[in-house]
Amino acid sequence: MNEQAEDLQLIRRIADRDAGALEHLYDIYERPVYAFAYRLLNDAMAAEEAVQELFLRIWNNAERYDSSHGKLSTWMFALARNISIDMLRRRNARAAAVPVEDEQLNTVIDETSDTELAVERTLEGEQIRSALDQLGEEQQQVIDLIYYKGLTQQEVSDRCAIPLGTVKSRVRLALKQLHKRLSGMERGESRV
Amino acid sequence: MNERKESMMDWAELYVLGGLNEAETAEYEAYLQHNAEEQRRVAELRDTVGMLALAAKPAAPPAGMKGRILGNILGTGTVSNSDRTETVVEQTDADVRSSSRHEDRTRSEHETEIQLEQARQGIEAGEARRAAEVRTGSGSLLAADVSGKAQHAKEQKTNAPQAPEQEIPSVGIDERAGRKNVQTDPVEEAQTSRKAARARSGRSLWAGAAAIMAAAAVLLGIYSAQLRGELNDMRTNLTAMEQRTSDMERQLAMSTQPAVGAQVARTVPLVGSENAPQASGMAAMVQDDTGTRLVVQAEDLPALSGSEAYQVWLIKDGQPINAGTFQSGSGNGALTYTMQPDDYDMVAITLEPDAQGDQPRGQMLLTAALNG
Repeated sequence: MNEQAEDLQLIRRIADRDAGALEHLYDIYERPVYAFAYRLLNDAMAAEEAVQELFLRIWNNAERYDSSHGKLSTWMFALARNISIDMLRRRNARAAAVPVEDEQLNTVIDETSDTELAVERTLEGEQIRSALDQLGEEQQQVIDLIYYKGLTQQEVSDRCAIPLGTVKSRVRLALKQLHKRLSGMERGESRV
Repeated sequence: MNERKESMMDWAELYVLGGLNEAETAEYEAYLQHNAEEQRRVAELRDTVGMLALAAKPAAPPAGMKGRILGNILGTGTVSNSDRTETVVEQTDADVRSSSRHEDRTRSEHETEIQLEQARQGIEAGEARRAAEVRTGSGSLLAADVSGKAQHAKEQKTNAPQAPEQEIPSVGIDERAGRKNVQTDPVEEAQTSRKAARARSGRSLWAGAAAIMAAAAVLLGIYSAQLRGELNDMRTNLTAMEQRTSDMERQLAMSTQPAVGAQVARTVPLVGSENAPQASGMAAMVQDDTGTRLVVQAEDLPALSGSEAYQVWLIKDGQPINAGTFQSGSGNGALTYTMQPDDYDMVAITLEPDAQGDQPRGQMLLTAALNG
């Protein structure tokens, strides 16, 4: 059985309220999902809260997963992102004057400087980071602000003082390049 | 319209990446529903974007996270068909538990208040007794005591001697009235008879008075015995209250005494987070007769600057409880906190901008799961 079929069976068992299946799914995705939430929230307690919310939603809404819309991991990471970005927006609303801009602009570059820690990383993570690193700085910036920081195209346009059309074109170009570099991985063996 | 469609097609990447606002998202999704080719494009983009999540640097989940999360999700109502009902049930259970804990605490506080009140009354009674003894001895205790019985007894005591004085004239009148019926005799006989009658009347008077006084004396004796009994009862009560007071004083004194035979209920190592991988420490929960204390020790913490402080938290159900702040120039430090005994999920140390916060604002430095 390939991994996508296995994931599909797992999610169906969860929809049937099989607690063992939820635990199995949790074991598979705990680390990447936590690392992702931590990357977005930069706070261990908040990241744990986001992971809990994710698995609660999966437990309660597993039947909503539609395999025709993409892989299970894609669905899960999209959910995890929505949850984390919502938390991030609430947090930023509470502390209106958060000086995020400098951190945002540096984040991707920080990761590049950490390549010597590659031993600790998964092969997939390395390849994706490498693909991101190969993007132009402006493309990295829009990906970072939209995907990891939860800004809308309009907010990016305002913050970076660039036209809306430029935001769109940078995003399109960035995703096109990423798709080209990662398409081999998407068909690859790895589940996450 | 065509321009709008073209613009929508430009939105696929932004949509998948999450860069559209709510209105734009809704608009694009409506467009997407009727465009199979665009759906395929979006699905393809989704998998590419989904992989971006894996670009996050590895981060070790906090100890015990799995247990907490699955415990919270599967903790209750795992066979329920209605998710919303299940969530509500969980919350209700939690509320009930919380409410029950509150009631227990309130009850225990109430009992403590009663004990304190009894102790206070004991002390006051003791003072009253000592004051009474200094004045006139135990007889004055009656005056100092507000007991209804004692007051009643006192009233009986003061009324008792008046009775003979009232009885004597009434007997005299009866006697004189009786004699008036025979005053139809001759004068001398009448005079003699009057003298004899007066003498008899005098003897009867004294005999009656003596009998009444004897009866009064017996009554007084009985009252006195009763009062002695009551006095003994009150002394017994006083002794019990003094004992209780001394117990309370002993308990109060114990709180300032060194612990004797303290039990270490739990010891867990604190593990450095990504923000402070080199930091380490230990948290212990220590129980003795006076309560439960959290003892936290940490070393190799990141250096503080300005008004920054390290803050210790006990976390239960995602809610942090402030267990105190400490500051140290060396990165090493320790803290104790008298805690409410409870099943906490986690103990954590954060780096806070100052020592005054009651909610976490800074970075997590050290954590340890308590429910693992």
